[in-house]
Amino acid sequence: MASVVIPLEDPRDRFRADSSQLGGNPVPVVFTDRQIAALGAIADELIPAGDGFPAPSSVGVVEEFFTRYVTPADIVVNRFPYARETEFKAAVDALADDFLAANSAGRVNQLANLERDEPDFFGQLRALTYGGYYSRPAVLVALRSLPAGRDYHGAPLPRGYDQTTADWDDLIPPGVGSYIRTTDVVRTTVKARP
Amino acid sequence: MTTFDNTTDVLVIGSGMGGAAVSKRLSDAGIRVTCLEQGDWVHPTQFPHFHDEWEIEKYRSWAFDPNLRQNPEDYPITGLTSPRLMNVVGGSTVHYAGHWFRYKPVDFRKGTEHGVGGTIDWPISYEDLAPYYDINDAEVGISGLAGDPMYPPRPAPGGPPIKPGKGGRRMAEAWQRLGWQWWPTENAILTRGQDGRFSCNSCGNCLSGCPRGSLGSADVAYWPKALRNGVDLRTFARVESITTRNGRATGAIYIDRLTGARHEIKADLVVLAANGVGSPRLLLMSAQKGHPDGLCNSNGMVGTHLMHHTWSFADMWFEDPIEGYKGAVGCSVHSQQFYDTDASHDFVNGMTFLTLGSFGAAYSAMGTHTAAPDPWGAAHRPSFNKHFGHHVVSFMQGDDIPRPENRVTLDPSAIDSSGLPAAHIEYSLGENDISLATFGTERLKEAAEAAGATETNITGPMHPPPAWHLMGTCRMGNTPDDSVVNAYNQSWEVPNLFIVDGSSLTTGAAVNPTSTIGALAVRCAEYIKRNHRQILSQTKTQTKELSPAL
Ligand SMILES: Cc1cc2nc3c(=O)[nH]c(=O)nc-3n(C[C@H](O)[C@H](O)[C@H](O)COP(=O)(O)OP(=O)(O)OC[C@H]3O[C@@H](n4cnc5c(N)ncnc54)[C@H](O)[C@@H]3O)c2cc1C
Repeated sequence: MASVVIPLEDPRDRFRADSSQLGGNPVPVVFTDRQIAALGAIADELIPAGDGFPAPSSVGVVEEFFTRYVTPADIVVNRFPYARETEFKAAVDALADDFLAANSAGRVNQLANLERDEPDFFGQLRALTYGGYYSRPAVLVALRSLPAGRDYHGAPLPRGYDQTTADWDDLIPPGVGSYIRTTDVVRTTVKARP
Repeated sequence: MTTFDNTTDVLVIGSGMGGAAVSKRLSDAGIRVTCLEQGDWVHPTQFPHFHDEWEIEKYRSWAFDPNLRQNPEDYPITGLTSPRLMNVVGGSTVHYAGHWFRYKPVDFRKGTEHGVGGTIDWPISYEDLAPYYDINDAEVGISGLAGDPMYPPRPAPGGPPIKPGKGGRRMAEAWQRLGWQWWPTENAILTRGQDGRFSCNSCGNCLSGCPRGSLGSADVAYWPKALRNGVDLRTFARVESITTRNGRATGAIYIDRLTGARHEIKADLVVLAANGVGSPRLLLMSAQKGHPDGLCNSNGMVGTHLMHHTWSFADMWFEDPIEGYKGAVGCSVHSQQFYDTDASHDFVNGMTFLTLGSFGAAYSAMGTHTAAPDPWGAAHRPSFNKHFGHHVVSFMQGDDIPRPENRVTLDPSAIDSSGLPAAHIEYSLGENDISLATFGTERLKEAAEAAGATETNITGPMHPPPAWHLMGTCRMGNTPDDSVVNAYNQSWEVPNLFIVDGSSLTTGAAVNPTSTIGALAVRCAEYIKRNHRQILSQTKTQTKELSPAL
């Protein structure tokens, strides 16, 4: 009977794990219920619902996106938006009680202060909210209600936009202009700079 | 431990546009080629096009800047710089937009025209390079419209131009209103299938690779053919130094990143194609007996005369829908109204105006290419709705002056994953570059107005510039004193060492460089093919006039 050779571990696996991976970190960060509530409330103030657009907290921005794009504590390389689990959670914990207790005007006030006093943390919250929100399927549906978004389908492939991209039709280039031939290149002096 | 591993006829270092074109062309003639590439293949599932998260990935796995990606194949690049390159099979072309311009005849004669800064004439003319542009175009697969009177006549592209979308149309109409020249842009984007690659379906996410193979990146345009010819392409193979003996290259030592083991490979002839940063870095890392300041650097020119082009961007928004998320991201229309040196200006050289697509909703909310993010809170929805799908970007790409002080050096304070020193970039805009980009910025404003933009964000001359064009650091020249390689990309110092990638460009022209890099690589391979034996017996690299004929 032929023997079965079990291949050794493929060293490429290690390099893939160290590389930036599509869809964020394979093992999501786990937030407490309180952190999820606070992050959802923050996202809802950054992009208020209305005009046919759902609230960020209702489309899984925190559960499906923040969890994958905050860098877990055991991962060495920190990539965009440069939010590290430990520090990020601590910053959320520090504001959660006050934020959740406040009304909408109070929350806006707190976010304005955060933007001024902790621009890095605020920038992480905004990048995660904007990046996550506008990639959620429910938001893509809302985008299609905009005149400029009626054909928009989020992920570029597999469909593409070949059927609906404006073509050349009657637009014809003027056919003017010329080029300097090799033998016609001469010394050229320009105006002195002021 | 260094172990003797292999021998080959020609060793190519780097698998991007230069390395791929040389490998394919030499192997067509039955020459044994081994190519060492520090990166891996991009697997089809690693393209973001099928993912909801495709936009945030532009800042992460598909970031242009290796310092942001921080992948194990990347090497750090320090300095006040915004480097943009890719270290995988196919090199930076895997990331590129595919704008496919040729240099014009005058671009090879800028020393004669003005000689400002470190500008010299190329030792070759447009006419010398034209047949190789034709070959490279056919290999890569080009779309466009024949008959542009701004260029010498050339064969028609293989397919019609990419669709302009409403954005391209808007800019063409604006330029026309201003009385400016414009033309549909040639792109390395298939609008007809070729070699089993699909034609573009206007998906709008170029600059993160192309899983359809429509973009003519070297991994799909050249490598399948080169591999069929039997080229030995070794991935995860990071070259640490090029070896020499008695003034001749003997091969290279590389680190197999999978095992960490060092290997020596012996070759009759070495072709370096690691790009405008990677090539000077490797030559400087290859300092050895007889070459104390790095290989090919006895005149101190390796790494100098770095060019990136001069840039100014105009993000514009319009009342009516533009739908810039549709269509190839690359430029569909361009204007070269101000391409040539004009005696009435206070700067030499000129510029091309181009356009780009807009990407999607998340990118729009984050400010698109250069603007600030949409505001948060109550102002968010009105601002987002006004901007998303209403956007066009146009930008100027100017011909920057090659200056010795703009340069690539080594920075041992940072290391790559194999412990090799980082590259360091020093680059500043010179007076001519600033005057040129200031003039171009004013024209961008005029064009935005003529297009009817209701809102604009105009950067002005960008510093640091977006460094996706890495040129001039091992430049081609006329004598051993003014350059690193001769008219055939043969290094002056080591006759059997050729350098053919962005680093060998003598001037930058006002156009994207990759079609010229590919053409030079095909020409260099043709020279090696025809003169293989003579090159192997040469003890001194000659000027064009005294070199064996091509
Ligand atoms: C975002 C972006 C957009 C662009 N758009 C355009 C465009 O529209 N049109 C255009 O003309 N150009 C464009 N460019 C530039 C274009 O990609 C480059 O001009 C072209 O790829 C350069 O070719 P090259 O052969 O010089 O080097 P590259 O293609 O960069 O290849 C160099 C290869 O060498 C390898 N290497 C380096 N060092 C080592 C080592 N020590 N050992 C082993 N391997 C090594 C690298 O990993 C890499 O794969 C763009 C670039 C970027 C990043």
